[in-house]
Amino acid sequence: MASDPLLDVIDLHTTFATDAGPARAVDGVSFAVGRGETVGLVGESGCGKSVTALSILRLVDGAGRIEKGGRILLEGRDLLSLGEREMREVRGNRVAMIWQEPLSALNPVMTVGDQIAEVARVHAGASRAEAHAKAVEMLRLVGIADPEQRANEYPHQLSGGMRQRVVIAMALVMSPALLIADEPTTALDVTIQAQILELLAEVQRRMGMSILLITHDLGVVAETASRVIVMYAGEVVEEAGVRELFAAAHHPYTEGLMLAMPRVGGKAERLATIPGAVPPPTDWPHGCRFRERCPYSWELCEREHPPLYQIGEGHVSRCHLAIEPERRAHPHPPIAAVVGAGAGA
Amino acid sequence: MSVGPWRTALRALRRDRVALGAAGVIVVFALAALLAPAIAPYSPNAQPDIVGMATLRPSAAHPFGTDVFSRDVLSRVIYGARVSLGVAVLSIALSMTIGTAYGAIAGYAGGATETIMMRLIDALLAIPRVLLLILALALWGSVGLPTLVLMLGLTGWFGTSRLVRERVRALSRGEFAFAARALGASHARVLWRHVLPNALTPVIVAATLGIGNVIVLEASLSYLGIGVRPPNASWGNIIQDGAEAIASGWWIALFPGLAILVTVVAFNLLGDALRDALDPRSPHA
Amino acid sequence: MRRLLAARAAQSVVIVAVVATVVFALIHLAPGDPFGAALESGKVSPEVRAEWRARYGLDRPLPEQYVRWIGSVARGELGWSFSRNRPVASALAAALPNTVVLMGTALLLSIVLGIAAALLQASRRGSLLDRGSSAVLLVFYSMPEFWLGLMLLLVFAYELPLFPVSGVVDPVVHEYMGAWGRFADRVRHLALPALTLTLLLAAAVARHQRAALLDVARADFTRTARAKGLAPRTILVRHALRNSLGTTITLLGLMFPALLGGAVIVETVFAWPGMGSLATTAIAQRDYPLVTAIALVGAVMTVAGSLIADLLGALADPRLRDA
Repeated sequence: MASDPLLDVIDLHTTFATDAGPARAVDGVSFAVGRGETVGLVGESGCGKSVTALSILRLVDGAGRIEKGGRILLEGRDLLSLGEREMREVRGNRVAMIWQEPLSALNPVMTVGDQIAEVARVHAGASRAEAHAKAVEMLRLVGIADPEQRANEYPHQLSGGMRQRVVIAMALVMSPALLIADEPTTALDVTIQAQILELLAEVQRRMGMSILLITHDLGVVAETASRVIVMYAGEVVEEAGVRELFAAAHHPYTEGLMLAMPRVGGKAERLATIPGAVPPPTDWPHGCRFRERCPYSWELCEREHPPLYQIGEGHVSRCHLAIEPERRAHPHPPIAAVVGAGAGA
Repeated sequence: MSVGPWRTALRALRRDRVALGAAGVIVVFALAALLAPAIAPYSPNAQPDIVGMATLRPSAAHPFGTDVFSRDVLSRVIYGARVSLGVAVLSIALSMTIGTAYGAIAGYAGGATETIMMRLIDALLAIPRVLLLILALALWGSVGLPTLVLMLGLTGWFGTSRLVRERVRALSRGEFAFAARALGASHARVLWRHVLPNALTPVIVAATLGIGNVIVLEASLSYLGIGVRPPNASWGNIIQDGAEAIASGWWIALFPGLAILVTVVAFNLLGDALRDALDPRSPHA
Repeated sequence: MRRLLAARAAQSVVIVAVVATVVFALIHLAPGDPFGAALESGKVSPEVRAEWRARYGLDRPLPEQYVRWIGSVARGELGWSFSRNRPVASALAAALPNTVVLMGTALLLSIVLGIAAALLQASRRGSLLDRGSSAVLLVFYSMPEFWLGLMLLLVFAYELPLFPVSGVVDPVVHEYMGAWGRFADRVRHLALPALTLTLLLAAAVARHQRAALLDVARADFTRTARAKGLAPRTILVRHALRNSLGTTITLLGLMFPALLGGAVIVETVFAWPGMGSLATTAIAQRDYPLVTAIALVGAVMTVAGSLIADLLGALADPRLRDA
């Protein structure tokens, strides 16, 4: 890991107040993103990856709070210590974020050009004309044909793929050092998906930007990321270089995710699923949180919450199999599967 | 028939203190109206001393004062509650029934029938209700209470029919309606037992809010002299008496107006709370 | 956009036709002969009687009367007002501008005040200011207009003689004032009636706009705006407000009938010589041609108002332009 990471998240805890008590959606997450790197943040819905992303930009609101004690270092500065006005200077400027559904992310009553130009006006103090010119330039950059014309159109007049390009253009106006992309391709057709990913890769090459790509789709990660962080139940459970992860995943959850991926060319078998469900964030279980769904768990897993063990060079895993690897040879039906089966059908 | 949403709504409502307060106020007024003969200190039309007791300020003997005809204003307001509340509730019941039937048929029928029926509603909604009532009441002349209720009811169902039609439309295209028909249920049965119970929530909200509207409308018409006519006391025509004496007897117009205000505020609060409980996605119009 | 205009214009014509039909039906459903009272009163000259016979076809079968009626409405012939002894159209022409001035003033003030109030509330959501003003707005929203007018009259015209009690201009000295004095006189007379209407309508606008702003605040593009680093005030005004104006314009279009109805009533309280006062005296004198014409004109105004509201709404929300 480069000694001078662009983003360094240290012991982040984000909690939501709910009727059922505090929900520790992000429960002690730490990771770093280097300059020019694409890091994939993977996990199923409810694991806390989106909340982690929102926490970086301090966009968690309503009932959510970032707990004291953690730090989020961006180029050495702790974002959590900034005042709101200083934070606004970071958003859209040094760090930008894009989301899944471009139609609802764009203001329906403003032209696409105006929305992109707005970023330049707010952060670079550009005049109307300058900002408009910049907007057209950005539209061209993201590969939209006839950008002059498009800039005066409204979101509902564009196709889904074009809208997501617009959203990307909006995010890149100030050439941010870090782009956080939360499921940027999930709502798009497969062909468009590929185009958008390619666009992101190209932009990254050109601008030397880092990307934190959040997704539940391992296929996307395999194509674009150089390093992968797997999250489960509010924690990081595995982190490795992308090749290493796909070749030798350690954590049983990651294993499960891989097995659940449909693969072209593989044997036409039934897709494996991970039995059971993610436990509720208001009530994380004691010990290892994946225990009930894990085919290798034993008494230690219930007694002790596993730390992040070093598996190899740049590869960590939150699993006790690191100290008793021979247990991997003796899988058993996970507790959740047995219980589920017993409950009839 | 699903009672799930109703029960959760009622539970939510019970926790809403403002809504409970509003409902309480309404109950108090309703009881006062029903028990008028028992609780009014005087007869509303009694004129014991036409000269000596005319236009007296509020006092212990007459908490709301007396009017120009030396009648006790408090008693008139209490009896007026009977008329104003009664007319409003009955006419709303009529409006909701007609509107629900019309909207349900339109929504269920679909196609050209629905379009024509709803275009008619668009046209009818274009006429300001007050003007329509003024015209009708002018043409019919002096009308009794039942006719007034009828007229108010017949002019107030257009909006409801739109609400119901939208709901019925969405529900009757839904799968469970299709399934019911596949099992042999007739159109009427599907409509009555499956679609309508779920379409009624906006009607309940509209009815509650509507009562407030009609109270104000009836009061306005009575104030103009074409609604409830003397000797029947309605809050509106008491204010009319008060308007003529506004400079010398401000209390005559003030108290019935406050009664209207409190009642309508209560119905609006209750209606809003019902809407939040039953129909959280509806636009706050 | 042009298609939208054409469609709505066509609809409007149909609506007016339906309204005219409803009015016709009412006239003929009502007990007694609507023209009988007028004819018996002796105030009607033989010429007018003959004209009525011709126009309304009083002795003819119903369908023919209907056709004649629709025809005369389409031509804009509204008949003779015997209580005013002049053509209905002329009586309306004198009264209509006053009503328009009153409604227009109230509409403008309500929009400004209502939106301002809503913005203030939305930016301080949940605070004492927000909740307190919501309560106040609810109270105004629930009031009968005529009563509010009476109370304002009581306080500001009788108890504290700040404003005149009735009319458009001072009956005695208006002629003798200079231009500025005349303007001030008109404003003083307009103040209370307009204020009455405004308070009620502004409350409705504020309630609706506040809810719309809060809905928008929860929307995804608000989150995007925050991620762009925009300040809360910018987001509120430039994004949230622009988005929710569309619904408020629609609301105003829908409330136009109620506004007109309210104006009619308020006019009687303040003896404001507009359509409302005209209507009440017409009723008192059983002048049916006049009452009928007022109902028709009222409906036409409403249709026009809602058409304008639709067009403005399309301007505000580009998604509606292609509808």
